Amino acid sequence: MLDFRLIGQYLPDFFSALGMTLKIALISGALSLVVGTILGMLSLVNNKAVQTPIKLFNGFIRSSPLLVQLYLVHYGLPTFGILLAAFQSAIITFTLNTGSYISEIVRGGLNSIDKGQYEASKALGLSWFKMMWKVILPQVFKRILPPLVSQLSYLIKDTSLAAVLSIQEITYVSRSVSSTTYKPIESYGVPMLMYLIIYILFSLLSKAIVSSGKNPARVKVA
Amino acid sequence: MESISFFKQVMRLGLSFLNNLMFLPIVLAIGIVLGMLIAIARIKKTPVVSQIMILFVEIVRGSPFLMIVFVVYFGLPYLGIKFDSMQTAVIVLSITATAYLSEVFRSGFLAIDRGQFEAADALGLSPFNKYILVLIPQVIKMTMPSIVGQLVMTIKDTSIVSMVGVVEIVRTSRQIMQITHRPIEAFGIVALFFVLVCYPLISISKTLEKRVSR
Repeated sequence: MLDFRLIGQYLPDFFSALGMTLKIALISGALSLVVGTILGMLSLVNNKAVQTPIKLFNGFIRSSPLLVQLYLVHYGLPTFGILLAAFQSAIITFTLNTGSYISEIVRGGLNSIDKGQYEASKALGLSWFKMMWKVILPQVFKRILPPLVSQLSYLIKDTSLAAVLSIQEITYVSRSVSSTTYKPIESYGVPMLMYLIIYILFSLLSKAIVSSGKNPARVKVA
Repeated sequence: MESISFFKQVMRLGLSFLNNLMFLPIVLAIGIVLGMLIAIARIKKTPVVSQIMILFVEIVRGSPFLMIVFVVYFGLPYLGIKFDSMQTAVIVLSITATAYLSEVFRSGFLAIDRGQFEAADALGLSPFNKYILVLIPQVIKMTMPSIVGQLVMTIKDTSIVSMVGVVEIVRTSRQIMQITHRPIEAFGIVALFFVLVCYPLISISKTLEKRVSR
């Protein structure tokens, strides 16, 4: 049977692990939004010297495993004299990885905006920055919110790889608790439940966004 | 001297990359068959089975891959279910592929015109023939881009099973790194091997997608 005393004993550890997972996810999530938006806008610049590196970068991120990317950052960057703590390596890797995926989402969003919006902003004499910030990006983010939310829910799951660098997040702690207590159901059950609750919250959020987005969009078209 | 040993290391990495690729046929076969069965159970709304399958799929989709690997490899032995690292790899990769593919196939079935179901019934096809001859071929054709996408995911996931001691390219690269202290070369070449296989597959998936949506 379940040993609730044991669960109670380790609950503080599990919660601080949850805190670590959320911390990594929040920081790299926020940074990857910035990176993704910038890369997404740059990838539409009509210049091969800008487009090619971004294409190569995105191709690399998409077709190689996150674990290898993590190793490249954590063990590779020190050879260039950039020494990184495990936490920093994790943040950098997850930011670059999720940022790359987000940039493709942003690019798709930018492409879906009617050309008239650009022309109208130009006609109003807005600067490029103002046009993006005030006119284009708000519309883009409204449209790409559902894929963004699911991308961020993948990020939460990806953070489990930080365990490889001995960062004390959920997966790492569950492994270490199970090896001290020899109680697998309790020590893996609670962390699994934590991931599942986060996952359920994200899918509810994305459903809410999709269903709330339906009506206003139609109104706007009309 | 240096170049010979470098070449040798690359060869060593390449050979262990074959171990990664070896998983693919069996994992993909299991994933497609079981994924299809789950998808059918779910669209037919078979009571109890359908609910259990929803639970299974959502648990797998909601948990990180590494976590599932740990549960199967370190957790299950305490319950008397022991798998070695190779079996763990096949099981976890297959479970993951099954769960994701079942969702893909389910959306495929939902996208099929109702008329196809009705026409198959009108022709007096048995339920088995209806699926084998009429519906499944259409679903497979329609979901081909996502199947290739899942293939790429599975290839990338094979890197993670190195964590429980499966001899594959990432584990080999860690060993090489410990000897040579050249992380950029060791992991860079590993990444290159993955890119070499996955990048074309992603392009194929994109092309297929354009063809399907046309």
